[in-house]
Amino acid sequence: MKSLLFLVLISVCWAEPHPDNSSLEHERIIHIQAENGPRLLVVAEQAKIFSHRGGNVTLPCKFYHEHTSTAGSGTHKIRVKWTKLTSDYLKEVDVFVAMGHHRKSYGNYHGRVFLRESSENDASLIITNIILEDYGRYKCEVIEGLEDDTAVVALNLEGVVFPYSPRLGRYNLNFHEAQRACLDQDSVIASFDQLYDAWRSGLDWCNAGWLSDGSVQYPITKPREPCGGKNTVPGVRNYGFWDKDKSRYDVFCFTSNFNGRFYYLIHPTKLTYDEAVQACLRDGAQIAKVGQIFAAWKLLGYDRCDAGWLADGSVRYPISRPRKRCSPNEAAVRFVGFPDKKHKLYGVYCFRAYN
Amino acid sequence: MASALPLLLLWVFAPTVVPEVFGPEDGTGNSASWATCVLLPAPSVPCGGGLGVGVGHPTPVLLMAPLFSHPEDLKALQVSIPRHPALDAVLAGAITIPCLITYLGPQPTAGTAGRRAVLGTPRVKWTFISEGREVEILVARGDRVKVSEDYRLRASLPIFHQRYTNASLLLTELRPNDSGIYRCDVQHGIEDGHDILNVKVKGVVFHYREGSMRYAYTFAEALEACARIGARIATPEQLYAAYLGGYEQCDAGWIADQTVRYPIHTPREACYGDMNGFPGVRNYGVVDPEDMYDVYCYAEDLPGEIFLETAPDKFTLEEAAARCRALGAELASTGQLYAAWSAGLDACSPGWLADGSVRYPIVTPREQRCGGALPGVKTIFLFRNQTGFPDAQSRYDAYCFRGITCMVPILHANTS
Repeated sequence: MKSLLFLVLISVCWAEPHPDNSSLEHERIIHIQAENGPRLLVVAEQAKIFSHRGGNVTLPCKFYHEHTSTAGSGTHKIRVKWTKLTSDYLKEVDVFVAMGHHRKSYGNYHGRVFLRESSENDASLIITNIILEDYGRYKCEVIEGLEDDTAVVALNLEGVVFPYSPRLGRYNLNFHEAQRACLDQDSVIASFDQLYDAWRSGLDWCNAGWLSDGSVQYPITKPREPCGGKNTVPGVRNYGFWDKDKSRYDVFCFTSNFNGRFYYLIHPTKLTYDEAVQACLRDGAQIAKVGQIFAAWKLLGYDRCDAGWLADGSVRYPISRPRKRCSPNEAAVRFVGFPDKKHKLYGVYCFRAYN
Repeated sequence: MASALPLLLLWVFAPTVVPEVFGPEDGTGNSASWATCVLLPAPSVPCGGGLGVGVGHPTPVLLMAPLFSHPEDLKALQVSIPRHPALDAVLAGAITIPCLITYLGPQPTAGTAGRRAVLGTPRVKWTFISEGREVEILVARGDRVKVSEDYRLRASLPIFHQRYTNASLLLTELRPNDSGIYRCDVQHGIEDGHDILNVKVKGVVFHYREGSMRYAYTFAEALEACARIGARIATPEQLYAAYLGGYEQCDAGWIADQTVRYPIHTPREACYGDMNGFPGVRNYGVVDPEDMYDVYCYAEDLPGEIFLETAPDKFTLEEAAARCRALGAELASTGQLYAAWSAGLDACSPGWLADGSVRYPIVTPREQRCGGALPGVKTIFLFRNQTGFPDAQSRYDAYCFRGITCMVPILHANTS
């Protein structure tokens, strides 16, 4: 069997002296003709996979040999590598690599990624306990000998996009601070695709915010004068790419399902901000973050017509059934503002994480 | 302007000091010092000096890429394309793009043939990225190499098969569209690494015609004409490389080997030459040096800067020359304008040049305005059949050229 494979190999190669060098040493270089050689095909059955935070997912990837006679991988070990693409396509993030019995995972994927290996040609990657940062496009690369091929799979997360500006007020975040602000609210800075999907499902916001690719944009469904003009078509308005250090805007954050309980704390009196923080702690929880109120509202249909403190010092309340005095016209997380933290005027929303 | 002069005087004395301070300590032997040039009166820019010094930047240490980005993901394999010395890529020339493999663990031996040796050798893949597309150049592993069809006979790994830690790529017969990003990807077992380098192929071939009429040069006059406009006559290899980059011109012109040729991609009546309906460089062969043709010139380096001068009423040819002189410059030559265009100069203003022609460089075409849908150096001809330079009294802008002076700033001698 081995000698047969060897013969096949010889028949698809031909040897010739190196054209640029006459030294004897070089005569052992074997030139493989690209068009006749064995060809490897890598295919992702689905280009897009949906999941959510905390979920498990399989990114599909299979490889095939175009000339089956040389298949069987007797001569070379198959190497499978998964990387995550970034907005700079020259920079990829290592995720996982497997070759023979060796396995290696990188960074925060460590311990969460495995090969499915449901068949000999299966290079699908299983990601468990998905985190918000896992969102994005993944490249499956298979190498066998001189051959290689790749396929790309997008991992989309169900969730909600929300605009955010801190207590400092409108247009106060540079790109790095914007990233940080989202993380502080249990979310990540949104991608353009996420904002676009949110716009398609009705998001209208007339303040420009950073997106993960470094661009500044805002979604308009009801064109009006201060938001790009009255007689314009609806769309995601794009300010383009700005200096990540010097330019200041708001930010669009993205969050997904949480593993815990979001609730309005039943308390006999209204609270100051500090009392609100303490009250949640006493209840075995923590004061909720802005990302959590949006996730509860959007993904769980949470509805409560009581203004409550949140961790960033803002006061909001989630309305999914519009009604008089709460939010008459639309389902929304209503924003009261960033009141004086000493004001004893509001309740509090808490979040208790499950372990 | 006034303040630049004392500074310059100071620097003139510097070179005598420096070679002792910057000995060939890097071991390359041919790089005696780091040169920086002064563009009067602009700030200093790096430059390839005429003093026999190495091309480069004053702080070589900073050019090294950081070795580790994440300490926890320490890579056992490091791949690097050294940035120094800078590559000199010219049309029809060759480059070797270095790519060095460093192992932080035990280094595998290049050893003997056989299956074990193949598994124990790195796999190298070179790709080329341009306009958002990545194409494979070649893949090599052990003693086997697969070169992509588009790179057959002009891409190879000259050292790799003797030393598996050196995956340098040799690319010959350089074309204009070889400008772009080169990526060296190395994989060895479970480990991998890569590095990239941006390469710009310099040099441009252009058609040149006497101001008075078509086909006005004998071979000797053709040589002279190119020299007069700051260029030199193109070689057959340069014209062919330009042709492969898309160059098209239906005018027969002298080439350095005393042949007469012209490059055609879309064969048509009056442009068939010796090739009928096939695309290619038409070649009349070696002809009588007294025959009359146009000429193909070649320009490469721009040892200075070109700038556009304008005025409300524009200039006659004479006024244009005077204006440039008043600014400590001179009217640019046609060769200099082509070289500047090839380096990215873009201006939609026809301007006088030293030979009395009027031209303007377009890198980004603006459809109707600015000379049509194709990039190129656009020429204002007097007649519809593309002959005749404009009357010297007609009014245009001016392209001035200011030379560059190379010297080593005294600052660097002091800091070391």
